Amino acid sequence: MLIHSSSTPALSVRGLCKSFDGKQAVEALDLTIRPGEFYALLGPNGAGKTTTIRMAAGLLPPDSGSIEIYGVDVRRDPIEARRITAWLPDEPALYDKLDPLEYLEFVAGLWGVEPGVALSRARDLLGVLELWPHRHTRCEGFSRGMKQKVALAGALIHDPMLLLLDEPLTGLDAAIARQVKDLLIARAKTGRAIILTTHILEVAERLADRIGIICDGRLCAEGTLAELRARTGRADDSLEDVFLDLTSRAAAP
Amino acid sequence: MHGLTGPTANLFVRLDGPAQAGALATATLFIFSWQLSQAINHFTRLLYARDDLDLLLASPVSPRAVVAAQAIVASVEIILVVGVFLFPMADMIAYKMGAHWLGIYPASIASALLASACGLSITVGLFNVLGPRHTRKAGQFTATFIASAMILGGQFAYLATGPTRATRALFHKLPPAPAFADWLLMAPVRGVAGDPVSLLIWLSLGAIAFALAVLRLGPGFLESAIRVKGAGDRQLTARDKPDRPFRPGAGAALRRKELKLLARDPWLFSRALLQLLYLAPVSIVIWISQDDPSLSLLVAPVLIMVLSHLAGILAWLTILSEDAVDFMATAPVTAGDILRSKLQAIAMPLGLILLIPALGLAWTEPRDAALLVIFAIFACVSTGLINIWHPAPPRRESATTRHNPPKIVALKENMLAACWAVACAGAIAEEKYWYFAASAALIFVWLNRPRRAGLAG
Repeated sequence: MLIHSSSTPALSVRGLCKSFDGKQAVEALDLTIRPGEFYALLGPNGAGKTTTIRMAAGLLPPDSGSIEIYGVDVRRDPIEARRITAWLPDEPALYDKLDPLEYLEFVAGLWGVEPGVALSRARDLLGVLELWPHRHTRCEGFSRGMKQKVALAGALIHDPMLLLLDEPLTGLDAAIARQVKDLLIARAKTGRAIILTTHILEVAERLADRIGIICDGRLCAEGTLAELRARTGRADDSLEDVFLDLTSRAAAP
Repeated sequence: MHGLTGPTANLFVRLDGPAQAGALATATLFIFSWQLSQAINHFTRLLYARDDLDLLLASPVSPRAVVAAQAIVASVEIILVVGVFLFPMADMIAYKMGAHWLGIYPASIASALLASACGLSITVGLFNVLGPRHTRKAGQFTATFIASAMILGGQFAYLATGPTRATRALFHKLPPAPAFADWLLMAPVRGVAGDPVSLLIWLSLGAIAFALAVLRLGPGFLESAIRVKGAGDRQLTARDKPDRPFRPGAGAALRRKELKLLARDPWLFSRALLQLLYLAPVSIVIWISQDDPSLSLLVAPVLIMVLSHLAGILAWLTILSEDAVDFMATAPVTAGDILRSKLQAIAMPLGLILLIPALGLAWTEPRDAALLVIFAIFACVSTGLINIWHPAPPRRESATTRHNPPKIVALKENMLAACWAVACAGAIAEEKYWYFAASAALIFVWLNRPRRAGLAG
């Protein structure tokens, strides 16, 4: 395991480009996320948020540019990069015939977590997410929200240094969304970096330390909410107004 | 396949008149039971394959049209599965005994339509009686029972009365039926033999039963599918299981996961059991027809057929229909490690199934046991490779059902399994045809190799 100094960015993206069938999905993207930072990546549909997250998770090879996670190059040393990263999509694919405890044991085994530590973490996570009574129930009967919580527990069981969350709250009811948000805030407070894409701007407004807005594959604005407000001259407006202002400016010819 | 089915066709051609009629009646019953069992499996699976039906249920297409389309798919599937063996045999018989024997083609279509109608009716009936929680298992059990009862019953009569007297005993010892009933009951058999009036009656019966089942039971079937979907969310009864410590190791975790998923697969065991039930009686027939029957000839071909099919199914289930492909790609293990662990997980149950009979055989016939192991390995590797080389389209929705291997791959599997079984039997009997069967299998595998770089999985 590498020793990561606090000055090393949790995620450093430089000149990232990706195109599909000639269409540029991500273009010369630069991003820096610091350890302990909660970063919200916003943008209209098709702006390149998910493509960026998938490239950072090692699921898509970039056409050019570099991605480093705590100084580890994702392309040169993918195994080490994956060891300290967790990725959670909006539609988690679980194994329906496994129960939550079996799933967490499987994930912990893959990430090489010491069994005693993993069981203790599984107890904590399932307890916090109110899944402990269902720990021996196969996931096939679970609702979408319950499956999302199991997947989140799986993403956290190996205590990743960087969490890549692609619309993790989509489709969750208010109570479950609250549990997930509380858990993520607690993680960020322990020094873990979180990068989250979402269309629910209220979530970004409440949780994020910094916000990046992607338009047509480019980072068109970045900063704290106050900085973004100052940039648009909308000091008292909501993030929604700021977001719409910035994206419409970026779309203007 | 014509070459492989030729000897069986020759056996049929050489039978005398009554024996031929008996063999035809038995074969008609056997094929119908096989098709019926396939149809019940198809409709039960469809009932629980939620994703496939969701879009159709939400569309403005009429429920009857949806069920009709699914029933046609079921009929085509079961015609093809049976046809792989039946149609080449029909060609050979027609070549030797006249073109009217090509009536086997339309007769098998009529039989498939009737089987689909009965399969749909039985599935809906089971659901109405047992409800969503028990229909799946009951459907598998019923399908297996129907297939095995027909085959084993016929086999029992065959063994009890001797090869040539069996069918006579079966048909002549029954109390005489009224002339019309007898004529009607034997219509399918005469239809198979090419009698045009009987064929027309048989086809009409199949088509009418099919239409009635779709029209009357179609909406009920879809309502059952909706009830299954609703029932899924309520099945949260936690099993009383003690908490046990976690175990270490990425490779071990992968193997445990695969073995658990296989052990909990509701279709795997019924498919394997069905294979055994179909093949065991055929093997017994071949065995007792030998001048000097040996135990090896009874065990080896059946085991090779079952193992090669299982290898294909397991390769498809574990390697190609991985439920969480993206998740696995984010784990800190290499693709090679994942594939190796999955292959180990496949090899474990296959090895166990092979080990016990091979050890038993080694006690009395060590040469035959060695041949069995060698041919079983070749058979398993070749059917596994066919699955890996020709994966289903990598669609997530098909991966989550874990039960949609492409039909063309299933047909190739059948051919390879048959070739290796024949080759093993030939090698054990020291007949030279083993060389041709093994060469045919190897050439078939080579012809099916991937032509372009970039394998799936």
